Amino acid sequence: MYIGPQNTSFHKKVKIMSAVIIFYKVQNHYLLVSVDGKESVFIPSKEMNLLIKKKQITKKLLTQCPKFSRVVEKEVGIIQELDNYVAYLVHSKVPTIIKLLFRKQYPLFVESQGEKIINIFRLNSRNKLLSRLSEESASLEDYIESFCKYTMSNGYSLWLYDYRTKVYTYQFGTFHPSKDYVYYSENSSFNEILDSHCSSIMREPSNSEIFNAKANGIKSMVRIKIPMSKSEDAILSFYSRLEKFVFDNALIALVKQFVAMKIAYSLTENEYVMEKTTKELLKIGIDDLQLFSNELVILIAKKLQYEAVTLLLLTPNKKYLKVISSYNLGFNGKPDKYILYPLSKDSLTVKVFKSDEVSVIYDLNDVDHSNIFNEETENNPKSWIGIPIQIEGKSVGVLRLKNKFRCMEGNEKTVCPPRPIDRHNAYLISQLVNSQITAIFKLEELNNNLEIQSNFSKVFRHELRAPIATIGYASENIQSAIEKYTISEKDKRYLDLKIKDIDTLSNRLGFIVKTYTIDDLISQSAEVIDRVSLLQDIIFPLSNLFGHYYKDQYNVTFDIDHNSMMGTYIKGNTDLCNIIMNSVMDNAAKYIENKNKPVKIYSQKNNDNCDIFIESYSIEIHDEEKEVIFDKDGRGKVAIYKKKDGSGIGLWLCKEIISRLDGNISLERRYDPVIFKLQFPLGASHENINNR
Amino acid sequence: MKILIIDDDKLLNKNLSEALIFKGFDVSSISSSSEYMEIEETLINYDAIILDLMMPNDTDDLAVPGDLETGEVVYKRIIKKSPATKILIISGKDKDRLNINLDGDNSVYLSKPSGTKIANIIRHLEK
Repeated sequence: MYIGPQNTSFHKKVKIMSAVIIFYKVQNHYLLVSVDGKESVFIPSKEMNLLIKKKQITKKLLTQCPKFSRVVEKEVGIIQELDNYVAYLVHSKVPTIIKLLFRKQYPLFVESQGEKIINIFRLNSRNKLLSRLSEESASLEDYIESFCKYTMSNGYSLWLYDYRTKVYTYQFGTFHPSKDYVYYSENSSFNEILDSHCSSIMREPSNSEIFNAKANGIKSMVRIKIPMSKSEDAILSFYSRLEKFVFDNALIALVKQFVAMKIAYSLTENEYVMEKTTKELLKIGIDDLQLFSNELVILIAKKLQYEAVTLLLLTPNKKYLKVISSYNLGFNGKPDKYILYPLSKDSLTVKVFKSDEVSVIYDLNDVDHSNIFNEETENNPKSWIGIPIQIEGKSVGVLRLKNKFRCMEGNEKTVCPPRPIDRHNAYLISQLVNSQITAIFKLEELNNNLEIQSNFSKVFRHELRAPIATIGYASENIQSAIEKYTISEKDKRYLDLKIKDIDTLSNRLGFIVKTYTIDDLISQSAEVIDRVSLLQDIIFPLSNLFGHYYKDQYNVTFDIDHNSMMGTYIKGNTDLCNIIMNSVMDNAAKYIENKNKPVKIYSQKNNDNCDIFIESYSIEIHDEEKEVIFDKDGRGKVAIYKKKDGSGIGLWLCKEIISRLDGNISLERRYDPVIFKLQFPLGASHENINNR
Repeated sequence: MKILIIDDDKLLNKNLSEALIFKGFDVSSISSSSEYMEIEETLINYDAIILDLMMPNDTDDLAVPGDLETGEVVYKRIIKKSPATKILIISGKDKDRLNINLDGDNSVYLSKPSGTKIANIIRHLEK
């Protein structure tokens, strides 16, 4: 309320004080602004005329300016009307209020003071706006609301248009629309700005506006298009009850700048949340699909604030999408109902499944209620995001995210429409989930293959055992028959040799079968005992088994220093130690160059370890091959050149196994002779065993 | 010494029997669960039984639960029927995967093929 300047000399003479209220004319409205520019009131001109006629201005202002209305004694009427201002005189008893102004000074006075106050008002409004826009905690809706107040609009609305789905979706606003989504094909009033090259239009609302403009007294609007991404635009509208409502270019630019900035800021903030969520998601174990799925849906729902999250995957018969895990406020984890979506029926979920889009948003009502779904988790699929789950380009499922509910009037709830952040999230989630699901499937495939291999291996080994044992018995029987029945010496010698061959073969086959239990030994954490006798359990069995074989096959003899091994016990697993030792001995024999010199095996105790040395005059191992020979598929160049066959389990596997027994294998010398060292932890000593 | 060999592998059964006969043992052999059920009442006549664990079950008279081998069920029946009889279990199944508790000193586990050489079998029989 404007109160005119005081004139002290005149004041004393007049007992009743006067005040002048100055109204600023704004397009058929009258604007009353307080002297400090902080408060304002709009009165339509028709109403104003009526109030002036009835002298009820103060009654109107009662709620806005209670102080003033209390001190007004009498309303006099308009004392001056200019192009932009109207001066209205009232009488007041309060002495601090103003003096009567001289009539001839009114026009200049009113004009200059009015301009001053209006400028203060404008400045304050702008400051208020900028202050609000600079608040980090202000939401996008707060921003738009601030612009609405600044421009003295009577309402606003924000819609988003997705070029891929060709659907406008309502975000928020003053006048709730009749529906939350509009297809482009419905030729709505939005299409005008979408199709034009202009980024803003100013006109009266058309009949095809999505809310009842007339009923709300809206007579004009400003509509602004704000590009958000390659596939999305925001349509921001400000509504007014004035017949002519205009934004200048500077204001439009300001609106676009800040709204776009806020959306970008929200995306950045969201990136941080997504980053944290990603890290947590990567921590979820991928050994078990069900456990992973359960944790996935809960994590996404809670961290990214979705009302419900559901993961569906293709059934093995490829006929249905099955709900694997689902989360909402009242339910989480593996659903207790067997929920299926037949691929033969054209539902939203099936459409997402068949889509090539990384992220797809639907805001359509699922009219095909033939889907079987759990009421609590699947009800009302309006406004949810569907993400196709793909492995190497092939669709295997769908991840669905439903936005939070928001409360309407009373108890009615509606789902918030997809936000710009949701599309962004959908893309990131899609990448992450797809990679994790792929890893799980690959792991399952690998495990299946390993199981098949393992089963085959077990069956194979099992089948071999009996024939090998039988060979042994047959050989014994021949031996017994030779002794029992009359056979010539010559025939006996021949048969003896054959029996030896059979024995050797049987022994070797038996050892090969044992070696191929290695996967069982390793995977079931081989039992380690600290009383594996070096001589009884490792050296003797191998010498007995292979003594003849090495002589016949390689013309190699072994010189074993039994004395160095007497009473030595190591910590290990007998079978594994045998396999390692055999492999190294086999290598020594196979690559031997100087067959006149036997392969020497001896041991030494070294602090807490037992070192077993295998020394042979084998082919040279070059310096650069020292490490290579312990690599998977690694062989020395000379070995390859000389076309020596590979057998045994290889040095790489020896190294793997011996390290699990807390031992080590190393090359101590490269040639003349080649010396390999096997090191095992010492076990209980012979003396200690006797003392038990 | 009277020995009964129970193994479904007829070739192994035959050769093992012959090998033990050569060594002076009195050997009988059967190769199925149905045959076992027929001779079960005569178990006490044997000093030792050489038993293979992995056999098919060809009779309804012997109930073999899903988690046990036929030979494992037969083993349990033998120690119930004739607790004093020595039992040498010969098997390709690893010892730590047996679903039976070996009965004290009367039962020995021998792994095919390394543990089932004639000399080793005889050593255990004569213990």
